[in-house]
Amino acid sequence: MRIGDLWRWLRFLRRRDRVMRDLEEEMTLHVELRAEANRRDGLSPAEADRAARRRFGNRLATRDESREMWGVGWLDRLSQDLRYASRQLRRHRSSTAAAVLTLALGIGANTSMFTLLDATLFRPAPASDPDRLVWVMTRSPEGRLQPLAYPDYAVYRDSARAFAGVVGYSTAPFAIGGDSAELVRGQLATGNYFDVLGVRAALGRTFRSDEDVRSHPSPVVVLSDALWRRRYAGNPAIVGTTMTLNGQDVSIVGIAPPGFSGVELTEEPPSFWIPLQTLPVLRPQHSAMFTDPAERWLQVVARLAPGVSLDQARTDVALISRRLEAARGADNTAAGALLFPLVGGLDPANRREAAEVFSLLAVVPGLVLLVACANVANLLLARAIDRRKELALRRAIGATRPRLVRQLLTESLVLALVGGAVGVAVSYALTGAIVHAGHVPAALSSTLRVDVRVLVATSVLAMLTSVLFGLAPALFGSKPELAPTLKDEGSGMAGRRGPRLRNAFVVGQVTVSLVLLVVAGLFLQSMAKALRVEPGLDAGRVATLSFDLGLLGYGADARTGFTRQLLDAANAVPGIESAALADVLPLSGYMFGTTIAPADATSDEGVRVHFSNVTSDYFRTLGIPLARGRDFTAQESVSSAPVAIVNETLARRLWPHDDPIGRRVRVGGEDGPIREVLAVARDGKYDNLGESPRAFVYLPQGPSPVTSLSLIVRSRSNPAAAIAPLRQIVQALDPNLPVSRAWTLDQAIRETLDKQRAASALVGVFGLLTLALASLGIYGVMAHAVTLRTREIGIRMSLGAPAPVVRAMFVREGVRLAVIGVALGLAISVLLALALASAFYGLAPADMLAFIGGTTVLGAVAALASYLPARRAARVDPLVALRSL
Amino acid sequence: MLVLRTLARHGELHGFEIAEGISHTSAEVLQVEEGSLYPALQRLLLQGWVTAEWGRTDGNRRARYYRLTPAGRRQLDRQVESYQRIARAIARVLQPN
Repeated sequence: MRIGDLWRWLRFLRRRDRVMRDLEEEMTLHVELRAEANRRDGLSPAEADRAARRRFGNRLATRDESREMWGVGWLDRLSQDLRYASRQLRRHRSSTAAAVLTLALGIGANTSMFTLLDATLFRPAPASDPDRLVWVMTRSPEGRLQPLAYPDYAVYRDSARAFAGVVGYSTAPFAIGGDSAELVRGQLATGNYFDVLGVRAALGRTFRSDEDVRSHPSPVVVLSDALWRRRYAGNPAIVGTTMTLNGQDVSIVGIAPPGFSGVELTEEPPSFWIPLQTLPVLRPQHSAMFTDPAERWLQVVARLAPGVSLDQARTDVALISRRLEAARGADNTAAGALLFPLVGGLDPANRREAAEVFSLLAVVPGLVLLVACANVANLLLARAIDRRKELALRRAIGATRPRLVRQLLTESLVLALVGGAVGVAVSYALTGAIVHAGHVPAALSSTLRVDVRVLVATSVLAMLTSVLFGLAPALFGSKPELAPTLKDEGSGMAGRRGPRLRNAFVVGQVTVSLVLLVVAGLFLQSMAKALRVEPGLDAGRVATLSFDLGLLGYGADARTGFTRQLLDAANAVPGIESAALADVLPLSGYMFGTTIAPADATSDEGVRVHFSNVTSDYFRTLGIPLARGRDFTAQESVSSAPVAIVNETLARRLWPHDDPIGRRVRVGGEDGPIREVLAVARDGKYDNLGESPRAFVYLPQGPSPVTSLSLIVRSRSNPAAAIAPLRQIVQALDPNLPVSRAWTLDQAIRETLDKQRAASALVGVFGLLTLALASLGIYGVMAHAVTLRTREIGIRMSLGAPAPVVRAMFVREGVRLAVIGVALGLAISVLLALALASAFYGLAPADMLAFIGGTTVLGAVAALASYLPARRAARVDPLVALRSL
Repeated sequence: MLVLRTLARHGELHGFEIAEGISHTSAEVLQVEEGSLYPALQRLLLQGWVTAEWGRTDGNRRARYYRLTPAGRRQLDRQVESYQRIARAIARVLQPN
């Protein structure tokens, strides 16, 4: 089509109605002129008209053909279909509302899931030109993806020509001092961090490369928008002043843009960014991290140089990796760097893990949508049955079957789009609920928002959905057998395929909802079990308070002094039975490992073991019984005496036949000190409630690389009440020391179960949703069947069938469908339970409770859903039914 | 081609006149339903070979008059020429030696 044609075509589109009116007038004139000519030829007026019309041919066809010449027929048909569809949908308000609501729930659930998926896996990074950014990672000897060591980062930064810039950062806890000490996470970042990412300060400036040098006279900091608003009430005058970080003064030079929290979603978004090289000033004990190639702690992100492809960059990096390995030689600390595109909020190592979890979770809303589709398809089928006369008539006057299918699909599309629009609103609420119920990281919940990407995904989903639920009813509805339908007065079941199709949908719904119910039940069961597990200690009246002396640079002596004072003060608090310190709390999610071996053994007989450095009274405070032997003395526990207490599993492993008390062990490899075993403690749970027995050794407190510490107290009454006075004691000892995680041990243990709780809540909510949808489905099908068979019921009853028999007839039908669905659902649930058994603690597929419970609930609901219409059927008045023929 | 030819010969015509013109010149040999003229006219309009304007007939009735555009005339020439080429070729084939 040439430009001129296009222009004329567009003009036609704009003035289509006028053009068609012109044509109409022309044709009328033509016929009139012909009729006049005919009269002149001597025909009677009536005959002249008839002849003129005959000679002109089919006027409607001519008009349509003329319109077709402009190639806009499809447009007319579409708008016609749309008008027709909205008229249809408006006419059947209640069923339309039901369908829209059902679809909205299904689509909304999926929109929420997509929002989550998008934020973690797909959304571009908050930087300029994010698709030019790549992760630079390395592999551990065991093959796990890891961050880089600082010396390696420097090599890639200086010699990779494929990169326009390479930044490194690391997230760490910091103590903000001042009026109220608090513990926050901050990011240490290389000086080029903001420049390479292309992020500009919302206020003030970001830091420069020349500020990222060792012993810079005055360290600078860029605050996050969130911290600025929370701590400084969004006061712009704060830029240029100083704040206290880990006891050091730093000057605030700028505020990051709102919403910026780095390229990675972290558990807690960073509150500020400081130049990397200020780390030794803020945490003096960590200065080796810049020189040791075995310390891999720096997350590295690079920007590809203009015109360089990812593959070219990989080649470049591989070359440097090889040179690096050759230079390091025998010590084997170098590992090649790997590049990954930067999308979503997780680094490649976490991304892989999250993708697995999410793909499992994403199935659930998918199933809900499937059930919703089946429901709406049933609704439309019912409507198609009601409308079969209208559709037959349309075919009789010349509508082709594809035309009818298209028209019915247009109706579905309108339904789905309206449903999708309501679904977006539903997903707002649902996303909020998910964030609330499941411990979604704060950074993630702040990025959960409905944006253009989500809307596009939702509309695509709605369109797919419309085909999914609309196609079967459309194909069925467009194929009425003409003669019988038009002749029949419209009672009795239409054909055989209709009900069979609808029954199949109901069976499918029952199946899916049973599966979801059973899985939710299994999750709940597993959780209840985990709560009943013996953690090997008495958590009842225990409170804990954690803090990190390393943040404020405590040396060994300061630390010993601090801990002694703290213990004395804690023991003096009224209501405290006993107090102790430990660097690793049980069930806290933190574990430190080492090796242990009998002192007389050769080096390769060591056992991998986890350990905690504790003070005396640790066992009494936590209620861990000592099977034999004695506790550390107060003196031993502050002077790193050469003693140790082993747990039963470790004792069995090292001395299967002998008494462990008094034996000597070497802890921590060949150079480790030799210690005497004082006692055997009973086994417990150390990392999580689901673990199998593991070897564990308790060592007395002393100089340790682990700087975090927890104060543990056993109170005589409510442990929560003890927290406030203990917090005051810590504050009095060092006002700059922030306290993290002050809670009761019961709370801490519950926390470890939160992930499971969130998953079961999610599945449970969706299970109930599908249960509701499925029961609506059964109800709808049965209710419609009753309406269709009113005449049949009337005949049966007038022939003497008592009401209970009629009722039983319908209930039987509903229950039959439910039984088939339940059988299928149970089979699938068993398979699924077997697959999930490994993922969840104590999830035993043989536990019948979830299966029996799910089946009972579903069976009851199905029976009710078929009983209600059946009762209506039995109330049919035979006279009315027969008269309505 | 017939429509273009008729317009070329008579200048400005409305629909009925075009139909009459075609049936006269072809000596009533080409008898089709007259209605089929109108889709053809729409196509010519779209292609820009004719333009249409409302005017008055001799009996003072509103009618739409069609007129050939320069592009339409060129198109007619092309069509006539290619038609003649084919006609000559057919004639040669049918000519007894």
